[in-house]
Amino acid sequence: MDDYVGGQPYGSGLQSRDAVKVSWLKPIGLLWLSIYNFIMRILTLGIHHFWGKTEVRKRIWSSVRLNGEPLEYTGTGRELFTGFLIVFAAVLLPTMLLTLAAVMLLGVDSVWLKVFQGALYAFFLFLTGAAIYRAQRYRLNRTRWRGIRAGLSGSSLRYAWTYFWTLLLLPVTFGWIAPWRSTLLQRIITQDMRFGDKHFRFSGGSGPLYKSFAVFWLLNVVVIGGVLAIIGKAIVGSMNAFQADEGDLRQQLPPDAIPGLLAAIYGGLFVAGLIYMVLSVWYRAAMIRHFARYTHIDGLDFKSNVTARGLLGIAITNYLLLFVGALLASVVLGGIGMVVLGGLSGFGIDPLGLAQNVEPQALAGRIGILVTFVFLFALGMLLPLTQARTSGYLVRNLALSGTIDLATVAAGAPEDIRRGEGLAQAFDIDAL
Amino acid sequence: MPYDSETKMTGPYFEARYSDGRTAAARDIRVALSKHGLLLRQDYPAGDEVWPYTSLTTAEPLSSHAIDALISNAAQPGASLFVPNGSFARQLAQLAPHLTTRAARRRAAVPWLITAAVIVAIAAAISAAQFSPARAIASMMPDKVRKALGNQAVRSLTKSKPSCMQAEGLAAVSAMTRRLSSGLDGGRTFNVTVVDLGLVNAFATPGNRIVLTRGLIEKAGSADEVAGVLAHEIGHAVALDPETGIVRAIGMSAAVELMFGGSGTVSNIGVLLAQLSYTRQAEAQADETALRLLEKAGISAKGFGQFFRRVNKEGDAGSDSAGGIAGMLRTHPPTAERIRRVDAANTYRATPALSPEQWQAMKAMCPKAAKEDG
Repeated sequence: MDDYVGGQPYGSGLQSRDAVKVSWLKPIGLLWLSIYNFIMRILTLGIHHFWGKTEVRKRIWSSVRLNGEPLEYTGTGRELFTGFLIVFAAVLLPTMLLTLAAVMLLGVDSVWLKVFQGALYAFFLFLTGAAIYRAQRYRLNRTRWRGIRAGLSGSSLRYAWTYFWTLLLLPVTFGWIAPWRSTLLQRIITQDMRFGDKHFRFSGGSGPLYKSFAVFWLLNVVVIGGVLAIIGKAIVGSMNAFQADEGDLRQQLPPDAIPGLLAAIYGGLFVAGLIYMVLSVWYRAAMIRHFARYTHIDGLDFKSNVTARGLLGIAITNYLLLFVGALLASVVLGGIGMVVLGGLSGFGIDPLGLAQNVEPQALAGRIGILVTFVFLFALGMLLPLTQARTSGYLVRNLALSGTIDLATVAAGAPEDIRRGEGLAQAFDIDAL
Repeated sequence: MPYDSETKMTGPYFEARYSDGRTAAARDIRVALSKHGLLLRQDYPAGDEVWPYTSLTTAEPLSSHAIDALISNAAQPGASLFVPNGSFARQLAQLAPHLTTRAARRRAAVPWLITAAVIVAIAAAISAAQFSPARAIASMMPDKVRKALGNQAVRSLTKSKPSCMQAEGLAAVSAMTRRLSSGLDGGRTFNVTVVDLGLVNAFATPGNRIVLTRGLIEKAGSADEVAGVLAHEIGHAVALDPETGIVRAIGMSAAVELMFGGSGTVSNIGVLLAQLSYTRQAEAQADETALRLLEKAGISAKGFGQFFRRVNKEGDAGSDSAGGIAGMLRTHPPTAERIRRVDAANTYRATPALSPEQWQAMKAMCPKAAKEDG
């Protein structure tokens, strides 16, 4: 029972100050849970998603141990589901109908339609901020340790507004507002966060983050510039070589030159994407360490030791897992699909039109679309596993120094948040 | 609950950690699994306590590979008990089976499995009864909405490509349309637009509008062939197929959003309509209407069959140049069965759909065609 070291001597929590040791107890059976949830999601036409997600969270939460004792996730699938339904009925459905009405009334080419769509887009950006905050609040509110609940006591509108106007400044400042912005948003969340009646504190500014950001930004400019130059050169080169007097590029290029040009463009973009991923992970690691360094509660100070290398390793292996999982799932689902189609055709039902004399290309096209859809759907199958791996990495690299008098941490006033994080679910914002 | 002297122990004591939920402090106690419930052995002054098995809850259900258990008592909110012992967790799972993963999963899954089965059964029943909710909604659509949808669809398609406005050509098109629609009850009129697009396509939009492409007119060998296609599209329009298609597409995208989240919206109705594919029944019905209209108008149905064979031959040859057979063929390829039905149409006295001059005007009505001619 090595996992339970760090517990305090019996009874000591009542008088003295306690150190808190964070540890990660690797959850067992997540692979099977991922597959179970995936199957159930299909069998229940998607509804099981919310219950599956809740079970995954319970596992991940209880893998986080403070002094050997697990965090508890007390949210329910029903809460997530009703939250989603309410947002769907109150936000998504009206938006869809409103857009349709606007297209019909204003016309496709109308300037007013563009204005309407712009306003709608801005409204959704604002809602995104609110969704992030509310999702966080729900999750904290459903997190307990030793029966004491965490929480987030502030205004989601205030956060949403800050999120919105600083977002508008991002392009204007060529991104240079980013470290200041993310620190500001993190500060709002952290200072609104509490465990029981104890508030978290955030003690720093964005200054130290700017060094990492400058490197990140400059390297990005160099990479993007370089790739653009290479692609541009390839295009100009091909055009010079093959362009006749007039007409568009595609018809003038001999067919055998096109693959080379496409390879240059996509290859360039792929390499640029990889480099960008490495750079952004490097900056993200710096940001996580930065945020942790300034987070405190009572006498406890947070410290994160995450590294770019560690995060990158987790990210790459996670992508591979998702890919392989989706591949296997697609093969299995494809096999089942064939059997089902065969069975249906026995009853004279033929959804793909196999019995009609369709050209082979058209049939291949239909099957291709179907397989792509199944693959994209299956990409999410192993998400519980990858989320647990990411959480595990973050938790294993988290340390708390200092002490806290746990006997003085009282349960906060009870709050009543019945619904889940519908808004975030609808916008697909989801850290866990 | 005070100590019950009748309590019979079923096992040894386990080390545990108890939190009362008022503060984050915890104290170490010993617990045992008794006949009536979980026995919490506490030091003076608290005394022993029994948590009945039926009132126990866990945030994380007890799985078979659990190495510990975190338990709450519904009768005592906030209080929690952490027992870092796998053997305890397994024994508790037997005494309080509602705490197991299996039980939790059953509670979560069974209602929705039943719901899903009911939904599938209803959907199957609806489709077996050949009732289409989309068609029902489409038939309730007010004319104003139909017209607005149709105008949007045509405008979104003709926005980049000019429609063909040459006067003699327009006159020929409307003459052909009038001749065909005279066979319909209630004097319905149709607004036919020819778009200056090279690909071969024809489709009906809501609000009795029909779009033909220049490519289709060029591909056709005679005015009778165009008349056949036009009659077929009038058949779709009469059956409200375009309206039904749009309702169905909107319903589908709402369903997809419901399943996956997101905020996608149907924005380009024109593209949607051009790509809609109708069911085989809808196609067969449109063919039937087309044959009826051709006969009433005294236009030979041979042209219709001719056009089918023409595009089919192209498909067999595997021609794929710049979407030559795209559109119409991809969405509803004429099957052998359809061609046979058209060929089997009644023979009757027929005159050409257009005079040679009108046919020439129709072929030359688009700017691009006119340029190529000149």
